[in-house]
Amino acid sequence: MIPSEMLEELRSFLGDRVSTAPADTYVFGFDASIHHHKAEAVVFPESTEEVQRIVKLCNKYKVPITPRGSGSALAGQAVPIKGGIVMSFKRMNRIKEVKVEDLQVIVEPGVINDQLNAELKKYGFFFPPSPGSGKVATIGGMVAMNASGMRALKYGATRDYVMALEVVTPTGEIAHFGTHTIKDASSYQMAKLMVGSEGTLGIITEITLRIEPLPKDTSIVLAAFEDARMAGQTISDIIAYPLIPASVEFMDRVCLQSVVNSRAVDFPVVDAVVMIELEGTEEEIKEDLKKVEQIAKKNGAVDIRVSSDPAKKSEWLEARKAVLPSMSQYARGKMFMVSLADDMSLPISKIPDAVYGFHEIEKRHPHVVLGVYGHAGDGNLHTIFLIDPREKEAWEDAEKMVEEMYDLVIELGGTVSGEHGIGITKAPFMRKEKKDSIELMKRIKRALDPNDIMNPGKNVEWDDGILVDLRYPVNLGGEDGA
Amino acid sequence: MLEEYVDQMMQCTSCSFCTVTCPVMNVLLTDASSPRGRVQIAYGLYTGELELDESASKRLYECTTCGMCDHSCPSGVHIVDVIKAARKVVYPEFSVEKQRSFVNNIGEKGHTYGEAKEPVWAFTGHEPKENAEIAYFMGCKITAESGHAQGIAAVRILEHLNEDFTTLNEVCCGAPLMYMGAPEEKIRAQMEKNMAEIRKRGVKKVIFSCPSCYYMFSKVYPKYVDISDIEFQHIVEYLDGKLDMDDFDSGTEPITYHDPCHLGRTFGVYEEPRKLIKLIPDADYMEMEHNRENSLCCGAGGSLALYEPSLTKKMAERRVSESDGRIIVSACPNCVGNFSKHTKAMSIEELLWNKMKK
Ligand SMILES: Cc1cc2nc3c(=O)[nH]c(=O)nc-3n(C[C@H](O)[C@H](O)[C@H](O)COP(=O)(O)OP(=O)(O)OC[C@H]3O[C@@H](n4cnc5c(N)ncnc54)[C@H](O)[C@@H]3O)c2cc1C
Ligand code: SF4
Ligand code: SF4
Repeated sequence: MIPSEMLEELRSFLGDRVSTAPADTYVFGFDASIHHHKAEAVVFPESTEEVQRIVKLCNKYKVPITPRGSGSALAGQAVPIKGGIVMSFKRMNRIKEVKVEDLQVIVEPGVINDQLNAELKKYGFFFPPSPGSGKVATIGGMVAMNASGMRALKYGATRDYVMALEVVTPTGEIAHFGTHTIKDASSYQMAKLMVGSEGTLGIITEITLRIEPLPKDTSIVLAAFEDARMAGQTISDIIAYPLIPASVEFMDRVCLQSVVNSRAVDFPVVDAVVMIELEGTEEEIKEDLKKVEQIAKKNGAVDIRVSSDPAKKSEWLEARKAVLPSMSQYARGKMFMVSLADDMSLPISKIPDAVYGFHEIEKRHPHVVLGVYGHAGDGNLHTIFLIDPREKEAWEDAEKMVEEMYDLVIELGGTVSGEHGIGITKAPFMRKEKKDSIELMKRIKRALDPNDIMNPGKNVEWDDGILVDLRYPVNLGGEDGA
Repeated sequence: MLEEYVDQMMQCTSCSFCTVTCPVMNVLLTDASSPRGRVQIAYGLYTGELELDESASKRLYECTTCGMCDHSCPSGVHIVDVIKAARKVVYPEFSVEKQRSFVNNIGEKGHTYGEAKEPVWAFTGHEPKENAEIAYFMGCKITAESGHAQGIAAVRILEHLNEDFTTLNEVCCGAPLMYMGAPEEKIRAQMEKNMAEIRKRGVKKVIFSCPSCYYMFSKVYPKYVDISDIEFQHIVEYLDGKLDMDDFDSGTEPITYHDPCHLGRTFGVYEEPRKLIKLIPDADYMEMEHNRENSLCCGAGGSLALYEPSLTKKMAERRVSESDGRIIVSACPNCVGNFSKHTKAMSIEELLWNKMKK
């Protein structure tokens, strides 16, 4: 419970930028995961100083804080699972400085990825991680999640672009981590520690990102296969050639069908499609195209399409980005997309085994339809579960299936998250994977956040199952009737 | 009321793609007043996790029903339908006085503003008749004094073209009632009165100046009343192809065109008004940054202007800031009326009629 004197104090400097209205606290209890928990209050700071004052109050009264960008996290990271305050960064959304000569841009955490890239484009630069959620993901959220996307194969993840951070620590100090220089070997890489911390170690109030010049030309190849394993093989063969495209995306039949149902796009609906984005000079692209076509044909591609037309490329890229939120269009009204086992990363060579293995597991679980897609070129897969979330049996089936899938991922030498993070829904499997480092991580958390106020109970601290605080109208017969 | 929409609500993956496109969210900067937030509130009301109170109704009414969210949802959620259904739940207890007086005006006088004189067509000087080819339906905003200029221009253009048309002894089409969530029987009563009048005139086609009336007749009436054998069109669609450059004197003041939400995103009518404007030789025309399917709402729709006029004002100002001082021409009396409070605006009918060689 937030004490009334704390609320009064918050109102004294935030005015109507504090809300305890039931509808508001209810809405801020959702993100894009399967979980929901009402917040007790929502605050909308406009400056680092306001963030600091809020954090100091929370630390004094031991009230949980969950920072929030756009709430597009898929594993419960932005859900205030222990109540308390949700801190929205919608009002800290300024691009403060673009310094192309220093290869950097300074932003507030609420700036949205695509808006930043629209601004950088004016200078001929870009911020390369390209999450499917790029039109909504905030830079604060991307840093806190170490988000990445299609271009990670060539350009890396958000982690690789974070130069400096301003952070309000859980005890209320303002700290500056990292530097504004390209190189930095000055002591612990604290900025990197904040990357992927999912709001559990402090609040990021300013971010300095490295930026890259925009690529000259790009072309996209769509290669269609009637055997998903051969699509996976094509990906490994391209990398081993060696050829490192900007992105190599994989989509299976369920994903292709969903996206075709959702929008006008000419994706072939086959067992699997591999979408390869090549970049460089016209000559370089021509050369690479030849190699890609040769490899795809050797692996039995049934259809190969190439485009360098900006409109077509954008249609294909946007359609690929729309896979996840289009999934409920697969069997409209009967099966709905729920975010379970949404993300995993594997050694690139294990992609064919993983895709095959997941579909074998699916066969044992009749209540679930599985879609598999992802940035397979860098070994990152996503799976989507389609179930009827009103059925208890569907959840039971799904829960078992998630466990079997992550066991397979760990067995194949992979990790339970490549980019979507841990939150709640992947925490039990992360614990399994990181047996010998979880205690150390908890010690870091306790050292920085002695009163356990920052997004408490998540990630390294989560010690429950995954089917808790569900947002769906189903009674699983648990304690909270979720 | 909400059971019917539970599949829609579950269809929402909570991806938040709709939130960044919502013109209200972009002014208020809170997820609670975003399309996703409104769907979640409707869901909370349905499951009972959220009690019906002032805060829920506020978020549901803070929406112009502009349809930007429907347009951007990859899951195909019919967000505006969910919002409209939820408004039916909140209307009895939480509608505001201004909304209720609109509803009463419609019930008692037939029109939203209650000020229309009988007969409603009188200001146009064009009497209704029977067995005309087409009928011109003006809509409340035009029958109110502030909208007369648009109605007169529309009628004069049709007369100039020697069209065989009639005005109508019309009443409000019912759209404001639907947007507010007013009881269904009140909406049905409006529909029945209008359809009886239209049938009496024996027309085959009805044309509209107001995209909301056009939407109501085309998309909502068929669910409640018999509209068979009658075609509906917006006046810009009707005029498209009937005029050419020789009909106009050249030159205009600097102008731009604002796509009304329903005419654009619901009916896909983007090019017809532009073609008509460009028939004026040497028209000084420029597009605004957000145009066609990405056009920003003027802020007046969905009864928001009654519920929260200050929000309507902020949205209008935002849109006006894109016009760069040009006159905003639009094909909707509500948009024109709303913009006129902040800048120079005019209906497409007035622009065309002013420039037509008489
Ligand atoms: C359709 C869809 C597609 C997606 N595709 C991708 C993808 O391709 N790649 C990918 O990596 N992810 C993807 N995601 C997941 C998600 O969009 C990303 O993780 C994104 O970076 C989250 O940003 P956000 O602003 O929504 O953050 P939120 O969801 O609001 O928050 C995410 C986490 O960051 C914390 N946080 C937010 N702001 C701050 C701050 N200022 N300081 C400290 N902590 C903070 C929150 O507490 C939370 O733990 C996708 C999600 C969806 C719904
Ligand atoms: S209809 Fe328009 S105003 Fe209403 S929620 Fe959708 S985008 Fe926002
Ligand atoms: S875009 Fe559609 S699926 Fe995504 S949050 Fe909005 S309503 Fe839900």
